Amino acid sequence: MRRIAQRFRVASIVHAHHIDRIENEGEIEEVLTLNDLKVGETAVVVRLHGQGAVRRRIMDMGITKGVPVRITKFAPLGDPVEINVLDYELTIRKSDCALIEVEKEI
Amino acid sequence: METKPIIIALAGNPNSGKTTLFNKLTGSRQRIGNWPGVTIEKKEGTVKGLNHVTVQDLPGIYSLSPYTPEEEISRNYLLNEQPDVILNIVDSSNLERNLYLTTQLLELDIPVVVALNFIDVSRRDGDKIDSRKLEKKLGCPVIETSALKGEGVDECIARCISTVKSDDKTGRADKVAAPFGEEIEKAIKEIKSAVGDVAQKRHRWTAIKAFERDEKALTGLPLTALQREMIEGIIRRTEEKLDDDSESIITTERYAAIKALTDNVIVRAERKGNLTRSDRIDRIVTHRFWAYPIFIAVIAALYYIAISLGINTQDMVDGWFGDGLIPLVQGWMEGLGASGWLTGLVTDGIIGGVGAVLSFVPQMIILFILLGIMEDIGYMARIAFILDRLFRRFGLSGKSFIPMLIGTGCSVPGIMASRTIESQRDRRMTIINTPMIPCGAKLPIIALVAGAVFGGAWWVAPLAYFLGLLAVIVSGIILKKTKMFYGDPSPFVMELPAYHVPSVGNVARSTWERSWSFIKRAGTVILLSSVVLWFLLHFAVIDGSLVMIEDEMIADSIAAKVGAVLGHLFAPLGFGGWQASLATVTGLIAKEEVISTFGVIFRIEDALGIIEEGQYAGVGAIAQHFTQLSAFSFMLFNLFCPPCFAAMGAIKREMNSAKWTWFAIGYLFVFAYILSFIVYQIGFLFTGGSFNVLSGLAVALLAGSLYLLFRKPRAGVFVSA
Repeated sequence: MRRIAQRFRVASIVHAHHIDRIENEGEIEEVLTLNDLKVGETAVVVRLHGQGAVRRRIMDMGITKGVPVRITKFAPLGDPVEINVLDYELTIRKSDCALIEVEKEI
Repeated sequence: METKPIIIALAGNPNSGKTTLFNKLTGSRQRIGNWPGVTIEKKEGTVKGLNHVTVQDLPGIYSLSPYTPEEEISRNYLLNEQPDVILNIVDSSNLERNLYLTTQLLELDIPVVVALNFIDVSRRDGDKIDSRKLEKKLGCPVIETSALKGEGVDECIARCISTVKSDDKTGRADKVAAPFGEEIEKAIKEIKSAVGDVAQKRHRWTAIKAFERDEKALTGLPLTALQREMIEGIIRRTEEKLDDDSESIITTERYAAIKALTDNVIVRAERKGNLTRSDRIDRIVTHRFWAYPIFIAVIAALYYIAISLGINTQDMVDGWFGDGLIPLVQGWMEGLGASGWLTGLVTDGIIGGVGAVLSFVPQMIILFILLGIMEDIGYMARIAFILDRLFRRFGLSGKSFIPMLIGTGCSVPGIMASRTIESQRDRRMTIINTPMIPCGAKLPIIALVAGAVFGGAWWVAPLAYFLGLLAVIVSGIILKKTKMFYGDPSPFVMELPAYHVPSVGNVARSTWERSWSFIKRAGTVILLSSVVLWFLLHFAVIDGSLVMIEDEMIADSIAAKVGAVLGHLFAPLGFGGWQASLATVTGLIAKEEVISTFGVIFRIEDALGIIEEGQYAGVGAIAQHFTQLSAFSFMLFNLFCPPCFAAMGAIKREMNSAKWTWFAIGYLFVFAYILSFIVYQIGFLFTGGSFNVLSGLAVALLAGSLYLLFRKPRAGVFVSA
């Protein structure tokens, strides 16, 4: 799978202690996350970083590899984020969005 | 006749219409109890006309990997109690996510019947669902239902019963409804043989759980070290091959399998302009600018309606007790020749005490009806959505607002509403802080201070609510920075359900359940306490013997003596007299008792009623007991001190831990004491008092509180902005 846009994200570092599975140990991976999308944009989930119950919950709610997700809107204060997945509306925080690696389809 | 009892477990996602279906199935034949060990409500009922068929309602779940305490209950029940059949309610407008649970239920080796709910909504939207094809693919009966309209409800029961009787094994054990990819199926097959005969039932389920490394699900399974090693080897191999962890592999594969399953089953209609009705409402309600004005307007309207309607009904109930029941019972008892003290105990003590509490019921019911409508429409979830960012700053989650909103009516259902919060830390924090919001029963205290002491100043009541909110914020920030509550922000993963028209049945039921938790205490703890209090107020120990005293001698009563001792504790707060101290303590029975006790002490007939009607001249005797400063301090302490016994009971049940219960109660006491102490002592300085040891202590406490509030969180602790 080709990564179309790769950018360095500060958010990923801030939340780095969540991520226990960063590949290429020692190096900071440049990935596109859900946080990089704008309202109305659609992307496909590549991988979920992080660990534990929250990650499992997010997957249980339908955010899994290969599933398209669309940013519906941000809450008035910019956080949390409303996401359309599997034809319903899910809301999660930006800090969790930073753990969801996505790629845009062209 | 077949009379072998049948137990149907009702399982499904939240917001799938489960409660509505349960009510339709069982009507009024419901029993409400508690799940063992926890106090999450356990509801079961019998089916109309079929007394041997029991329906067990389970808390809504998205998956069999539990996340909230409610979800854990559902999973444990399904695994351990072995119901005869599972009635799985599925939201047809959200088929894929709902089937995620269904495919897991099918692995449990219990017959499953699927109720395809909201079918009327799907038809209206033009979606085409081939339920026969779905039935064939899942291998279990699928019935189209509309719980709200009653469509398909009887058929659900009929199919559940016939499924149990025919012992139809289709769709279970052998045939897998939604098989995973080749690589994983191979791994699962290998794990199955590695586990061998240890798992006597639910072979596939056990293998999948082993693959997910779900230790909780595998407890009780006697696996040898060798077996574990073998299984771990299989997992590792598959993980490497698929470049993902096993949990992620299973969820991904399950959704992929469901997608394949539904591809031929459902044809969704093209949405006009991509906007559903809910989207259009949300555009306004969660709008960047309008969200908060709309939210404030909704809350203001809510309280305006509840209070303006409530006052009239309150007078009515007061009338029943004060003018109707009490004289009636008094006359009746005197007619029977009952002694004076017994008549007094029954009319003043019992009927008066319980009646004072019950007069708040109508207002509470109106508030709970309005809140129930907001919940059923789906607006509550939006409130959590727009407030999460704000509340996170105080260590709470967006979902914490709902318990506090309910807490303005009564803290008991407010505290119980904290159950929907997933993170235990957030839930504890919410439980501790909810009693700080002034409940309906604290209103007379505010009214007394505002009306009788501050001459009807308009700003006292809004200030009390504002201080309540401020106290929650301050307390949240202070607690967030302590060792007990520090750490990462807890998660917030929530579905925003589509808006829908509220159902009368659901609103009625939630109103009843919440109001009942308030009413119930009137018959138990308040009844008993009223009797005890009446005795303490009307008896005195004179020359070593217990004697009943006249009303004029109330200052000699046992209660007055108790109050005088406690006065030492409250003197630094400005209300050390036995009267105010006693009133504060009786407030633990119920906050209404604070005013009732003053009424008895100052011999004011129906003090609560006088205050509710705003005739403050009638309670002047109480006001004279205070200065403005000491009255304000008294109000603050009574607003924030530990709540009534009923609310303490709710805290104990929801915390499910003696340590945390005592922490909550102790914390509230210390918080209220320090706050009143600072306000009274520093206020005393400003109103011409001289600086002394106590004022010095107040300044030190203020500095200490400000430090706790503004200090930097512990080093190395991650705090999101």
